[in-house]
Amino acid sequence: MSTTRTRTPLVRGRVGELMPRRDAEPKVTGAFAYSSDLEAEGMLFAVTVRSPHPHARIAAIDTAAAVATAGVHAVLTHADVPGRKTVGMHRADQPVLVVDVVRYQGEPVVIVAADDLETARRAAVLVVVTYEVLEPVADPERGEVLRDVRIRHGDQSLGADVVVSGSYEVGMQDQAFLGPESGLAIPDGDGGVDLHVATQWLHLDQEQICAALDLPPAKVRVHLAGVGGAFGGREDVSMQIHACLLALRTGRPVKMVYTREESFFGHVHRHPAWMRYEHGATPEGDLVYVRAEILLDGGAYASSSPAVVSNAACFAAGPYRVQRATIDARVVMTNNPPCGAMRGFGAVQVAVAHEAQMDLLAAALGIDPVDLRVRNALKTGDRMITGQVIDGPAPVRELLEGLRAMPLPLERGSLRADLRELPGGVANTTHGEGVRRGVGYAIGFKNMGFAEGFDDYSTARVRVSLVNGEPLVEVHTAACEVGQGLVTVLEQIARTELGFEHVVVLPADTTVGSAGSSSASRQTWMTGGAVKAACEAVRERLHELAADRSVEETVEHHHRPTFPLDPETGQGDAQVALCFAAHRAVCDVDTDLGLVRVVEIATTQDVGRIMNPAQCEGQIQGGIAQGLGLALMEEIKTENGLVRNPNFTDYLIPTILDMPPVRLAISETPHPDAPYGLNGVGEPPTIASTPAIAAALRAATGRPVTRVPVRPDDLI
Amino acid sequence: MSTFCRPTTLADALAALAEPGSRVLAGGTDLSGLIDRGLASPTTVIDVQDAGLDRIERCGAGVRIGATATLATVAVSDLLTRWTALREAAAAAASPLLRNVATVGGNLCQHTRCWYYRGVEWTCWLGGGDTCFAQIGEHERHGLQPGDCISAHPSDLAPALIVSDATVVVASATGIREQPVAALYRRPDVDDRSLLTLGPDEVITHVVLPAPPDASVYLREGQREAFSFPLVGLAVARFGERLVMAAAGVANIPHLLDPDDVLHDLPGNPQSAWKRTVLATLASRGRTAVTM
Ligand SMILES: Cc1cc2nc3c(=O)[nH]c(=O)nc-3n(C[C@H](O)[C@H](O)[C@H](O)COP(=O)(O)OP(=O)(O)OC[C@H]3O[C@@H](n4cnc5c(N)ncnc54)[C@H](O)[C@@H]3O)c2cc1C
Ligand code: SF4
Repeated sequence: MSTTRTRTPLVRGRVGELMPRRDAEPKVTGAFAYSSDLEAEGMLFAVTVRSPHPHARIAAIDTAAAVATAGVHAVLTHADVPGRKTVGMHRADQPVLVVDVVRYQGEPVVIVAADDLETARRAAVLVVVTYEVLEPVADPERGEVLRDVRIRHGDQSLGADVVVSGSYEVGMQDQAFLGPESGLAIPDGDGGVDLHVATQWLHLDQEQICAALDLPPAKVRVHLAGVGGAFGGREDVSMQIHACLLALRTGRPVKMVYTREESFFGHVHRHPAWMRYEHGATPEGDLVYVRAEILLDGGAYASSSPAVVSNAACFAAGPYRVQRATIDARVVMTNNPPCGAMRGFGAVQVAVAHEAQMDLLAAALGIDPVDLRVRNALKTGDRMITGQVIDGPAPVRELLEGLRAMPLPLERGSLRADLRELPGGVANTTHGEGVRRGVGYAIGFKNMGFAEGFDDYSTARVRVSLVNGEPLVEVHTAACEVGQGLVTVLEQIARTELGFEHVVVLPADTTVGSAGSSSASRQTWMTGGAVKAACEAVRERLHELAADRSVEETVEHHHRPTFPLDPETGQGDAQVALCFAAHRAVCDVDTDLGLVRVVEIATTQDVGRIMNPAQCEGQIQGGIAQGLGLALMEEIKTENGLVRNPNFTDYLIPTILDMPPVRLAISETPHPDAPYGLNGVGEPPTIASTPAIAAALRAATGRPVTRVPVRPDDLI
Repeated sequence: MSTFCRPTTLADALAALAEPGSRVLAGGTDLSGLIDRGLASPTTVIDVQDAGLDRIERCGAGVRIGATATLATVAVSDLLTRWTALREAAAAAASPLLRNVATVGGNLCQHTRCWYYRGVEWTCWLGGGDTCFAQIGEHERHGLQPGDCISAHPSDLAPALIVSDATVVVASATGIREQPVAALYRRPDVDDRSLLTLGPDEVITHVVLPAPPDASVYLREGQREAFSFPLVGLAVARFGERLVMAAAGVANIPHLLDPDDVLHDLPGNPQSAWKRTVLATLASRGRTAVTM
């Protein structure tokens, strides 16, 4: 599993090299400008008035007192939205500002711009919204079905000798990104606006802003500002339209920065899931069937729920060969917080279930859990449960074997242990008493790119000119650097293709064609592909390059077409490519206190091609941290539609002390369809890391552990 | 709207505090959050950090800690090496950033973290309403004592100070009194929902530690390795043969335990009963730690 690399000593920083990212130092030293750090001459500050109720009818909005406040420049409601009053990724069902009915707690109702933040806040308090409170639909079982995906694969009458079943639950996880939603809108004095914002897909923002503002695309220019993490939570618009509305209304630049608490209401979360599974196998351990009923709570608006539920269904059986699959997955709408895209996108939830089921089945069969997985591992040429034949790499077996072969961390010695290595850490909870170790394995997979017939593409403009006789390469795309290191990789690609040292990746904006979203593990493949193709086109014309003549090419890169799923059977070639990663968790559990120390996570992941080793490892480490968070602590708690923990005191994410060393082995099976043979890297680490930890906890405690995040009381 | 003052002497602070509606501010890590959420609305905020109350000094066989000494200084103070439980409790609380500003007095007086109390959507019994939402909602991290308010006391320092037999010096414009740390707290009742016995015009000036215990330890179960409130925090001290134990996280105020029957009085609430196992385990491990 390796690729040949061209070695050219001339230019450093090419594809495959460990090239340090340019934003690393400014980020570490605090010099990096995030979208919340922007300023403009004469700017106003904006705040949002949000509904405290998850479900209510608005009887009246009285803005008079706020408008009359000195220093206030605009107080806007839905009536001030000139164009389409709703937004949404899949369907425009979410009001820009609530029109009549509030559907979730924290929904924006009124926006206020004032000379300074304090004045804006005080004015916001003076806005009187009269609500007629309605009973929220908080129980997903009572929610209205937004989409259900049925998969009927194979002979539906097939039964099996060995059957195991279980019910599993996944809590609502938050992206918990570092930088709250924020941006700066600057009116151009000519009816148009420039928005600088932290986002994932500039053109989708532009499209939605244009619709709401009733402006043509040329009048709305969206520029990427410094992004403090995204993980899916910035795909839907948050403050984009609001800031633009206020800027155009006041004729002044408008800055809008959500507070940490608002941020919890400002973006969609990972869908909580309830799953009932049944697996049937032959006595030898061949999977015969997988039945699953999957319920996702999509909350108040559609967001990307229709696609998430499709993914949950398509990957419901895990990366295994099964003769028959009977999957019923549905996503419902309630008055809970809207859920949508988050790293792993539907594959995360089902992995918790299918991997627990594989362990149950292994136990029922008396087979080693890794052996069972290897025995049933999908490989190239096999059919997925959607009927799609996998023609790209599917190194499931290799990843599992590789993982199993990796050395285990040392057993705790008999010497007095270092407290920092024990569950509970330095808090003196144990010196080894009650501590039992467990090891758990899991593997997961998901698609790279968008599915089900979406024509996904990215655009790159590459220009070479001579500056003082030296070639300068400028790469311009609308692809969002969200922390994954894309800018560095694009630079490496241009250097590799053109062989010139001096490459500048221009700031991303909408003056070049769409790059699609920085999501679905797709951006290096798609925009990397576009940059590569544009460089190739430029290369063909390099002979034209002269002191007074630059060479420029703009190229769109599309991936191969995909197709919708059949609505009755869920069969169809819906996926572009698949990415896989396996995880082994070693956990020490204080079985008297329910405290967990994740001792180590080992992982094998196939990335097709390592474009930049440090960044590749960074994605894997970060993804595992997020998987660990879901396994052990991260959950947005709601009660009758109300969020109880919208802050980092009550919504806990792992600290560096909770994060174990990661032992990783990255393999490179080139993907024939992809530039450089690369594959998506960002999402797979979050998929199987969670179930691997759950499995280790089961092994250590003998407790069933059917719900994540696992609480201490689940383990004692 | 409130006004702010930062007196430079204790006398000035006390005079300012005598005005109705005023409130002491120290590091502000708790009070600012309460004000933001409308759970406190003082007319005057009196910052006592310049009032000369931040020293840690020897005092007879013990040590006197100024109320505005930070948790970070307590955690590393050379004068406190023999008060292991206290140092460990101070080092375990919150995060390094918070410990650099959070003070001893503020830590003892911090309000409950119950998310119903803190959430703007609920006005619960403790906040003056009729209903303890935790009892009809989720209370798995709450206390083990039944009652009107089943919240879990959040301060790590309080149990450590209680087992050290510490006292607090409390001053007001009308005088000074000294009382055991445990006497700072009261169980709220229908007529008075406060958790503290301090009068509105009173300020803690010092915490006084008598001679140190022969051994002490602070054991703490948190939801993650650092920077989370104690689910159960147990301080254990031994003076000769005498064992003293006190816990955070098990009742709405710090709870003094009977070392021979630690679960006495703590039957558990339906979802929080698991903490009984935790408390019993910590107590047995803590006893071993101080008698080894
Ligand atoms: C995210 C977070 C996590 C935390 N985790 C923990 C934890 O794990 N363990 C823990 O123990 N604590 C924890 N805390 C609480 C923290 O320790 C307290 O907020 C802090 O100690 C309060 O000190 P302060 O000086 O900031 O108090 P302030 O916020 O200034 O005051 C707090 C209260 O005490 C009163 N007060 C302050 N000083 C005096 C005085 N001298 N006399 C009388 N009244 C006074 C104030 O009026 C106010 O009511 C956490 C806090 C936060 C925000
Ligand atoms: S436990 Fe106490 S603070 Fe929490 S809801 Fe009940 S009464 Fe309020």
